[in-house]
Amino acid sequence: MYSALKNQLKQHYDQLPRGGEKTPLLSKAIEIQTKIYGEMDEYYKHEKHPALLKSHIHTLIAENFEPKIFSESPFFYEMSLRDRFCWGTEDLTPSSWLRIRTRPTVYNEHPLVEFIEKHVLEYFQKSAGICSMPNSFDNDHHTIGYTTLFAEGIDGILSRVRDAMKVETNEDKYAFLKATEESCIALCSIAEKFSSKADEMLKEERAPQEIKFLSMIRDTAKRIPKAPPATFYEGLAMLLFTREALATLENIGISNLGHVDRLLGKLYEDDIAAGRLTESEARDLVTRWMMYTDIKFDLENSSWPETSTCIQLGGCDENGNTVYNSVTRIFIEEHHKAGFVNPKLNCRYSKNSPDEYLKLIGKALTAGHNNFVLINDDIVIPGLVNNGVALKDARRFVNGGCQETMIEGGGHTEGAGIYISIPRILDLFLRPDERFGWIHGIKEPKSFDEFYSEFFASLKSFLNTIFEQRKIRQVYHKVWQHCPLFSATQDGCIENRMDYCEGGASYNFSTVALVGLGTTVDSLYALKKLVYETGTVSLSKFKEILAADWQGYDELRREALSLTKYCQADGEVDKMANRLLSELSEFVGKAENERGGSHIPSLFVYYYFEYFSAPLRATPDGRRNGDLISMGCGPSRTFANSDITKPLRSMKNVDFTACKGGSAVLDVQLPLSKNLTPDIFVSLIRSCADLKCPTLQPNAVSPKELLDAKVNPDKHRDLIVRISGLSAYFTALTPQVQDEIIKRTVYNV
Amino acid sequence: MYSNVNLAEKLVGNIFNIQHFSIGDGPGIRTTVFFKGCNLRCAWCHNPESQSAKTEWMFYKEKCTGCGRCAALTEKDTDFVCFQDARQICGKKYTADEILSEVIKDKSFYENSGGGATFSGGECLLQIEFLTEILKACKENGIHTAVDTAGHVPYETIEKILPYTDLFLYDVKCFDSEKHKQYTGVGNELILENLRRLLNTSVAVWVRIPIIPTVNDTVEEMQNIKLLLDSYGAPETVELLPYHAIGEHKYDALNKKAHTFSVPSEEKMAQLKKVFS
Repeated sequence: MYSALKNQLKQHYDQLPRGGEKTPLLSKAIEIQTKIYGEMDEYYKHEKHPALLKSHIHTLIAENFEPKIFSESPFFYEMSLRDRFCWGTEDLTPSSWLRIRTRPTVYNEHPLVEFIEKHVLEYFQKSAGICSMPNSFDNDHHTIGYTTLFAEGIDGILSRVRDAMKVETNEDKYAFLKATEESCIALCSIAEKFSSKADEMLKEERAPQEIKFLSMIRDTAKRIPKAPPATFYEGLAMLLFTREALATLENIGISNLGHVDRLLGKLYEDDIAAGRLTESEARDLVTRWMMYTDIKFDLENSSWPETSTCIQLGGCDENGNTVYNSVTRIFIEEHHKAGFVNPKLNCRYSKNSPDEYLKLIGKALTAGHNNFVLINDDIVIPGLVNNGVALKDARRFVNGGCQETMIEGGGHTEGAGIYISIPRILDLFLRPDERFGWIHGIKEPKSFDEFYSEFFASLKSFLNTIFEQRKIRQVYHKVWQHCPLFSATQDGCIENRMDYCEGGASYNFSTVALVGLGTTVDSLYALKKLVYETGTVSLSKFKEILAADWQGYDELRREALSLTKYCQADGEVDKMANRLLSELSEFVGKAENERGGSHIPSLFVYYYFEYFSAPLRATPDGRRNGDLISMGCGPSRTFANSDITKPLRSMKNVDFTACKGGSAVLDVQLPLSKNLTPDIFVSLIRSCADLKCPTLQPNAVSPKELLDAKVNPDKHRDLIVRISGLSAYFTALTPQVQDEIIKRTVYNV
Repeated sequence: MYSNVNLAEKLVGNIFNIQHFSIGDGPGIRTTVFFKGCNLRCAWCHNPESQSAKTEWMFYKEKCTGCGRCAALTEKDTDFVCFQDARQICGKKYTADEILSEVIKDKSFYENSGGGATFSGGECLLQIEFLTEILKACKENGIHTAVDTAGHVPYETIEKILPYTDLFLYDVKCFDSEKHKQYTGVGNELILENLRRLLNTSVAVWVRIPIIPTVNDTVEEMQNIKLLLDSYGAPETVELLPYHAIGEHKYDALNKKAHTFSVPSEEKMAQLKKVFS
């Protein structure tokens, strides 16, 4: 039914490859970028304010881009200025000018920044396996203030900006407002170009459906994004257009396409009541709206199909009312029916979630539609509130590009700013490395408490070093990260007359992803038991044993392995996890970032558990050199536990609100079987809510099918698996990732 | 025949597995406690480790790396941990308190799903005193109870647990007693008589029929069983359970020979289910 649209999308995006042969369309994009770069180089000679530089880029983009309209879709968004795999954060887009061109100036003014970038970071990442800092600043994982756009449109924002301009006397602040005004105007003129383009296309002979869609675009792109959406279709158009346009204009990743059922629910009901829309028309719109991502990112051939594209569903609204409506149902059902992998379905749940909602998710998941993550409102919202976020703002949280927490319209949380391997710090504490001045183990602590406090002091010392370096490096993002249009949609920026990169938004968090909690806790527990309680081995001997990778020490390894582990619902070990997490959170939460905000700790790890495993030497829990470490807030992978109720019961023993709203993800692999029914899934989630499980990332698989898919991929092309924050076609993955997924514990049911 | 043992004055049961989040043994999410020891020898048994009441070692040779650590193991070394999970002990002694403390951990799952505890095996009724104690303990703690049985015990044994059992999962394997004996080692007269009597009590009964190709996978067989059940008073549910080969590797692990059957097709299952619809 949708083959015509699929073909149009494929044909277009095949013309926007990354690297390789320069297609005419890619060459055109590069030509426009080169032209804008040239014009900006001239403009830079007399204008130095970063906000005004950025807004001028927006104007130039609006003037120079050529809209691409797919006549089989009623939506307008494609500006063809980014390659197909770029969600906004890369260099191939004219708006990268600010970052690229101002970098030398920053290096010149702050030589330490360049030194850290070139030497220290490479050392950390490649030599030590201790942390990952691919960016100085997480310029992905943003979300537009859609709620504001739905309430007042760009016209409303413009009106507030102009009111502020009338009274603002500070030159710098005025410049920010002026830039915001220019960017808002540019955005509206981009939409108008789509309208004109649709009008032009209507002059050609067209099939009735194309005429209908083109007319919708022609009429709507005159109103959206200027005015608040008045219909369900306009709402969809607003979300898609602003998401794609802002990514291109601001050179940032807009990872979440909106809390769609909260934003669109009433518009849908009003349309239905007024007879403007039927349910089947709404379903058709939603399918066409969701279709582009999988094709754009060439999912069938991509071994790592990260799209950083999510939608939010369920949960509650600002007033705490449960969000579940026809729009929720339509999105989930159509996503499943079409076999989409994207947008990723980030589903909020709580004790108040209706059975019908959970059953809907369960129905798709238990049929192998592995595209869900379930985020617990009862953990995230109190966590954010404890972190100083107003309750109504906390209730507006969304997640993306995987499960990174964002406060929609409240600022940027830098959800994937930095990942730190906690077991690696323990490793270096136990067996010092001369290269690290700040991690030094003491020789023979007299008690476990002494050991723990020394270790924790080293941990804090290391984290402090990281925070300091990040602050040094981030001086330049205050220059190049200016995003006047994005900022205009964030609460606080217009009021403060400050860009979000300068701390203008209501909330200015940075997130620290703590990797390997389970492995760390199990290792600490093994040390406590074997060294300080049973006296089985001295600490110095233990270090020798670890240095030998347990070779020749099978008996001790057996003891270490047979000790109770975190996520086995054991009070003592879980208590240790709770202590470590709460103390770490307290410390991390106090560290200030470059925008004057604080840090959010998270146990969201993406695929970094794998990245950090290889350089990690043997650990006291019985793990050998290079073995996989624990994922998210889940159990160690050193040995299997097939009882799913144990990790879930353990969740109750750890207060994950300590993460202050940051994600803590528990991955579970369930066996597909006729007994795993949607009703059982509902009950599982109800228990997750009772047990305060923070975020559940389920994968429903048949181990037999996974094995067969490796051997006979052609028979399993539709097999979708959840990897870690993203889903993918199993057969497109590399053999290494396939094997890692196969090795995951499949819980018994 | 195994009966429960009394060690150190505490009644203990001989258990080979406690399966949490069990969703195939009664309603909702359950914890299934598998009793070791059985008085039938079903040719298609997928839990061959349940048959003997003795503690056994299972060895999964495909997981073994040949480290040799388990070479001198005895039955007493129940704490042995094989790093590769290749060598596993099967059969441990538990008190009713220990079972209850394990079962009660998942109460939230039972409450949210209408689940509870299922006692299965082997044949759990062979350890009737222990079974009675644990069933009683579950009921005292508000946990729904199910007993999964082949029913080849004196009815008096079943009667003992009636006050503490919410549901029986009761196997009917073959209509014909000779065939029953051929494939399970015993005739079915006692089993069917117990079922008849059980269906005349107020306790819920789900009859479960394993569908084994070449043994009982005919419409005629199902019709005979249905007529029989109708004459007894219809059970709450009749479940047809298709044969599966999941247990085959366990035979290898126990160094026993498995009988193999084909897996019934979905069409065949649908055809047979129709008899009971």
